[in-house]
This record gives sequence, structure tokens and C-alpha cells, in this order.
Amino acid sequence: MGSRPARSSIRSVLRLLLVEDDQAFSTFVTTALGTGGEPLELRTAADLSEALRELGDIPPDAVLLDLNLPDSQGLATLREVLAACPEVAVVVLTGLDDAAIARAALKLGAQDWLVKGELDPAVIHRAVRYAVERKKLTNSLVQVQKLEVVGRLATGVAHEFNNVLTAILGSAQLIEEAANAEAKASALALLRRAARQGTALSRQLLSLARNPPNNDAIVPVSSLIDNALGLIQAVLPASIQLVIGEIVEADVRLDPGQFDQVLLNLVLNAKDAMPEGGTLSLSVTSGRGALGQTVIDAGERGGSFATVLVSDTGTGIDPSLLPRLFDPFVTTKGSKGTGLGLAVVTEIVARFGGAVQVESRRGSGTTFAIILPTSTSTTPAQE
Amino acid sequence: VSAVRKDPAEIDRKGSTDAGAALPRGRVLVVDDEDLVRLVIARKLQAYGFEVQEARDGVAALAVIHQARPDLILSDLNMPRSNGERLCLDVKRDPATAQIPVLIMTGGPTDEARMRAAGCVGILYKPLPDELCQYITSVMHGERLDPSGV
Repeated sequence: MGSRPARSSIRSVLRLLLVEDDQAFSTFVTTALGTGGEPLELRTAADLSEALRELGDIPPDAVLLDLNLPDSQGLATLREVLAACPEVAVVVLTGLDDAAIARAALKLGAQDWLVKGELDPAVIHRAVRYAVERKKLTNSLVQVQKLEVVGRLATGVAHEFNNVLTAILGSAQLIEEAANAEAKASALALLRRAARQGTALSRQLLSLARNPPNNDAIVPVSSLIDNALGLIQAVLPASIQLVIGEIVEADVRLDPGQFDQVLLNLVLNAKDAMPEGGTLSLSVTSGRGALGQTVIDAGERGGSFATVLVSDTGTGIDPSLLPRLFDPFVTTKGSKGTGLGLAVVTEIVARFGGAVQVESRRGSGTTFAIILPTSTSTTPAQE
Repeated sequence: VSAVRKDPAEIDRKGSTDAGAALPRGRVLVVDDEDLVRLVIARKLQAYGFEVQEARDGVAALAVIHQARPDLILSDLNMPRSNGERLCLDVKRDPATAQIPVLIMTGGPTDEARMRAAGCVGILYKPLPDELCQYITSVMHGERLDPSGV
């Protein structure tokens, strides 16, 4: 599936890429990994650009990553690696006093960290194996949750297709009964229009189900919202009013299918929070947002941002639940929810190099902010 | 509010028509927020001989109804602003319009009992039957056919 080299689950030899500019340390790790433990296929890179080349060639299962390289420093190094290869398990190598950096790396999507002064072969082997297995689980979680979203969309989309079919069957009948060529041509035009609407809808569904992820493209954020509107309208009942606010012009670099998954998760949550109806507002502002609670911090990253805001006028979230809201299996919906939606939102937005914020008030509603780094590239937008 | 397709004054509601003019089968208000769906239904009804009015949602529909009273309302359920159920309740509450039959159409699962309670005479599931026009005629004449038998 897809253009990436297939990674067989049967292959047992782990592919590991060591990214380290200190030659002595690199040799130490190479020697350590050669002595005992499970067999590993080890490649090395001495700086970020070499690492990115290696990642593009044959993606490894795991990367042992020194954050401070000649051509890249700190968490930016991790972001570049994850952006190039979101499915790879990254174990960060840190110094003795870098606990804060290590924790920030985990929030950004690293699986683990190893302190350089405390290494022995068994520790490295175990950390790499754990990291790979954990990353596999996270990747499959995103896939499973995607199915959940698609399932929840089904009713709304069937509804939309029935509208399209009404137009198709109706215009077919008009063609059959047309009194003259002009009437027939006009009915044919309606038929085509209806078929095109159906095509657009199925394309949206397919873009959501697209696999594998990492179909990154530079796209205007307004076109992302436009493209998702059909599905959003399909899932909202008549009792919920959709209000589209200001949408700033900005290009972002991300996987549009995964963005749809993020947005639909937030929309479905908003819908569930408004059983008696209400208003769902959607807007995109420039800057970093300023809501109460931030999960994944994009704060120390330079550059400019666009913030997608999804607000509902629903029941709000219990304040005691807010700190754990983005953890897997935490749900406000009792047995109706799986608790995967927001965990996956966080996972995907971290892959985009972005941040998630939330603010909620009991009885008056909830706002989620998805903060996305904007792309300065002038590459034409892809469909 | 969508344009009323024909000036109501042009049509003799009692059926006494000018020589050569086709006898209108009645006036139907089609309410749907999907422009294409509304357009196709309207064309179909016109081809059959109905006079057609159009509206995008329940609020716009009420304005049209008070301009020129239709003989039947064919309304989508799921619409922004005032939906089909709300429209039905509004029409039935006003003595001036209460006798106008309302047909609800929908593309999804529907609480039929609730729709009947709101006062609608029938529920049509999209895609609509080929015999839509015949069914509408029968409802206009007070024969409340079961739409599933259409």
C-alpha cells in the first residue's frame, strides 16, 4: 500500500539509525549493540541532513537521536525527524542534566530517552525494542480510531448520498419524459451536476480513509476547511447551526487526510456535547491561540502559526477531567465513547509540529484550538 | 426567500382557465436547503403540471406561504434555521394555514411517530419514488396513501 517501501511485520531484525556527531560515542554505541542482545541492522548518520537522507532511503524501525548536531539543535532536530518519518520510533539521547528537554521530547512524539552517561548494551536494546513496539501500537491506534470516525460518519453520509440519488433519479426521469431536445439537455446538465456532487462526497470519504499516512502537502488552510465542510455538514443534525467565522489566508504543511480526521473528531465531540442543539463555530485565526490549557507545546518553536478554532455551545467538560482529557481511554461519553478521539488528535497534531489547546466552561460550551505551524514555501497547493 | 415561480395572480384558483391554458394541478411548495435537490423536484413537479414555489428552509417557507398559500408543502426534514418538523408545527398552529397538508422528506432514519405528531400527513424517504407526482395528487385530494405503497 502506498509509495513507501513495505515494512514486513515478519522481518525480525530491527533496523536502527544512529544519529550522532560525536564519533567516539557513535563507536561506543555501535560496539555495545554488536555485543549480545537481539541482532540489529545499524546505520549511522553524523548530522541531520545525512539522517534525513537515510530516513528517505529506507525508513528504519527506530532512530537513536542526539538532539544537538552540527546542523540542528534541540527539539527542532526531533521535529525534523518526525516530520520526515512520522511512523518511526525515536529514542532521544540526552545529557545528564537534560530531564526537562527529555520530557518535552516525549510530548512531541519521542518514545523514550537515554542518558548518555548511563548506557549499557542491555539498556539500549531494551529501550529500542520497547520504543518500536510502543510506536506500532500508537500507529495502529490512529488507524483504528479512523475507522471509528468513518463509522460515525456513515449515517450522515448516507443521508447526503440519498440527496444526490434523489437528484440523479429525478433528472433521469426528466430526461425520459422530456418533451424536446432543450428540456432533455437541461435535465442532462442536472444529472451531471448531481453525479459530480456524489463524486466529491466519496472523494472526501476516501481522503479520510487514505492509508498510509504521511501524504504531506502544502495546502492553504482555507481549502482544508472547505474540503471538510461537506462531511461536517453531513454529520450535524438540523438542530445544530454551523457558523463559519473568519478564515485567515495561510499555508500549512500536513497530511490533509489526517487533518480531516482531527477536525471531524472535534466536530463529532461538539455534536455529542449538544444533544439539544446549539451552535458550532469554526474559524481560523493567525497566531498561537490563547486558550486555558495547552497540550503539546509549540511555544518555543519560532515561525508563524495558524489556529483552527472549533467551539460548541454544549454541556462543557467537567474541570476535574480536563488534565486527563487527551489521555487514551478517557471519555466523557460513558459506554458510548472509546476515549480514543482526543488521544489521536494529539498524536496527529504532534506529527504536524503543532499544538492543541482547550478551554471549557460547564453549561456554556467548549473550545478546542489546533495550532499549526504555517509554511512559508511558495510551492503550489496540491488538490 | 426563493422566487415564486409564477405570479399567483395569473392562476385562477377555481380552475376556470383561459382558453388553451392547461388546468393547473395545484400549487406545491418545495422546501429543501440542497439547491440541486430542490431544483430537480421542482422541475419534475412542473413537468407534471403543478405550479411550484420554492424555499430554502422553514423560515423562508413561512414567508412564501403567507405570500401565496400552497395546496401542499413538500419539505425536507434536516435544514438549517427552521427544520421540517418546526415548519410543520408552525403551519399547523396557524388557523390560516393549518389545513395545508405537509409531506416530510428525509434521507436518513426518522422518528415517524414524532413527525406524525407534528402534523405531517406522510413521510417520504430519499431517493424519492418515481411516482412522486401521483402521490402528491392523491394527498391533495385527501386520499392519504401510504407512501411506502407508492
